[in-house]
Amino acid sequence: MMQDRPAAGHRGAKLQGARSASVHLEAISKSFGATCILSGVDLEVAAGEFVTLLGPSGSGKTSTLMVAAGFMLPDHGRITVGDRDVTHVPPGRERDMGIVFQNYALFPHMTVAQNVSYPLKVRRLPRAEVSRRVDEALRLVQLDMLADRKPAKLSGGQQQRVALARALVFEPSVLLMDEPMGALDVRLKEELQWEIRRLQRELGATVIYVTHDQNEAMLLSDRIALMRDGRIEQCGSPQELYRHPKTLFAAQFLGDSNLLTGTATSDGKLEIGPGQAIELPETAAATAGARYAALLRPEVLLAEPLLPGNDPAPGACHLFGTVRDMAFVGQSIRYEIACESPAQPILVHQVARATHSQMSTGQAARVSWDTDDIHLIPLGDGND
Amino acid sequence: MSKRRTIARLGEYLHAGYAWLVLAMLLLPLVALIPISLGDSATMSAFPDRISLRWYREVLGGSDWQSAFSWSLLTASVATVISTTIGYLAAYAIVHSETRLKSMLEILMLMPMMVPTVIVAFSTYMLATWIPLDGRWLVISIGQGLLGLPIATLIIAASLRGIDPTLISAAVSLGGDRRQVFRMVTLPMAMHGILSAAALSFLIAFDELLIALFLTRPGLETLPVRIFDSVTYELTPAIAVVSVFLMALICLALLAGAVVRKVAAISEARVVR
Repeated sequence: MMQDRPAAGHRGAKLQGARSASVHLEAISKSFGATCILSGVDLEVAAGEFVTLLGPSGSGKTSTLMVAAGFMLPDHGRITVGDRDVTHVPPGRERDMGIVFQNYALFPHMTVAQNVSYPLKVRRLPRAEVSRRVDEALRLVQLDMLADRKPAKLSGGQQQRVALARALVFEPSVLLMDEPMGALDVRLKEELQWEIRRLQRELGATVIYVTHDQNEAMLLSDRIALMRDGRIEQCGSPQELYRHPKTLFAAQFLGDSNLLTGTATSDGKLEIGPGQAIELPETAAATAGARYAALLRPEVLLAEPLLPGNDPAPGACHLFGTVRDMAFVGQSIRYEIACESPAQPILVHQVARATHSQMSTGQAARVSWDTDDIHLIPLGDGND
Repeated sequence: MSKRRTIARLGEYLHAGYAWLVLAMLLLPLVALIPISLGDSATMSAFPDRISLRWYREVLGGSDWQSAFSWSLLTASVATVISTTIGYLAAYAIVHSETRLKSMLEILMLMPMMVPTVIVAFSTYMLATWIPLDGRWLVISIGQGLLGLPIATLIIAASLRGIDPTLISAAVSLGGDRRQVFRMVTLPMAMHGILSAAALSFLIAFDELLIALFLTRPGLETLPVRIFDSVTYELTPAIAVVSVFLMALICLALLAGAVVRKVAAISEARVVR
């Protein structure tokens, strides 16, 4: 995946990700006094890949980005871009990274075009080339009409695009983005997310992106690195992280989850309560006697009213309970169904079809699922 | 209803009248200088018997007032350069350095404001004894620059504090070296503060009497010293002429500033449209 950078001086006719390189963070650790903020972060980003650092606040995602950008020097560890060791290279021309800051950090005394031309001017590129590439970058983010405006006269979304154009125009080997959507409203956010996705795929840029918004992370990323307490809890594609979280934290951070904890039995079941066992998929390969949590996402569950003629289907893949609460949220109906075990109510997100008979609070219900939708998370070793 | 409105309007008139009164009290003594400057006799009079430009000829044509004006321009300009550059460096250190000596530096920079000017004047006088006579004017500049330094430092520090540090991080990460970041980002953003600091230090230096008085000698007289001498020994309408001349200069400068700002605002608005 590693791509060679073209010889300096020669530049393609179009903005492109030909210069994008792989990034490798190895065993990065950093502490301030007694507080350890990064403890052994390992992350490999291939050239042209979009990787998001996702996590709650204080998990070290921004610190990881700052270390990658060179604004923070790690105590231990190594950072390589392509085959260059940049651990001790200060931020700037030699480190060659484009950064989009959370508050955009546009130069207020310069127009949009001047902001975007700054990285090229400091590299002393010929004037004709500067104006050509600025035009191109502005057209790329659809801001060519506003080239002569000052940033203060732009909306938040437009400012964000200027920051993006400015970080892309000098074709850095890596693009780093620190919660660039933090200050935008939801509608605009979604629009810009699609745009960033399109741009990144088009340019083939290597991107490391920081956010605490899981939907944003899933929409944008090739891979998500979920962070917790200064290290990476799990790294994988959005699907992998959502469907096969390795820990309870990962299961609970991404999306809503139902976790049925219990002990595996020798006949391939999970005993989640006295005399109550659910069937496990054949691929689960659970060790008999070990403790597990079975993850069932709310949208794979089916909630039905429990009627006399409505016999429980064979196979232990359902629970009985009463509807404790329900809410209509547009794309789905959300139920909270209280069962004997587990202690927490089961969450069900059900697509509201016309044929679907809505249940009301207090009604007896049956919750069922397909055994293959169960994902098992081993418990123990401080993993809860 | 209408009574209340009349009272309210009366209040407005009183308010406006008061404002005009204060303005008049501030301006009248200055305006009074104009008729005095137009007098014909050798003594000052607010209502001259004959209007003439005699003293204007005398002052603007006379070499000693001209040389005093030039000396003031020179010393004040050099003083401005001194206090603005040192003020910028000090302000940068105060805002960005992390040393513990920072607070010491801050106090040190404010020193010239706290020490009585006479003492500053005396110490520059002592300094001057080490310096050849030809360099005396430079000592005056140094002393006057010292007086402007605290305010220059404070103003520039305030404008440097107003620059978001992430802007500097961005400027660096986008490839600018130290000099480019200074020239293209820091300096233009601090320019407003630097210009204000320069203008104020120029005024302080131009206005300064004591230091120049300690160091004056035949052939080296700044305008305030010349005025002081003239009041002490001559007391002719020439002083009024000089005052009117200076006021006119300042009015012109203010007008020019207003025009520049207006033009900038208009061109900005045009760009937006």
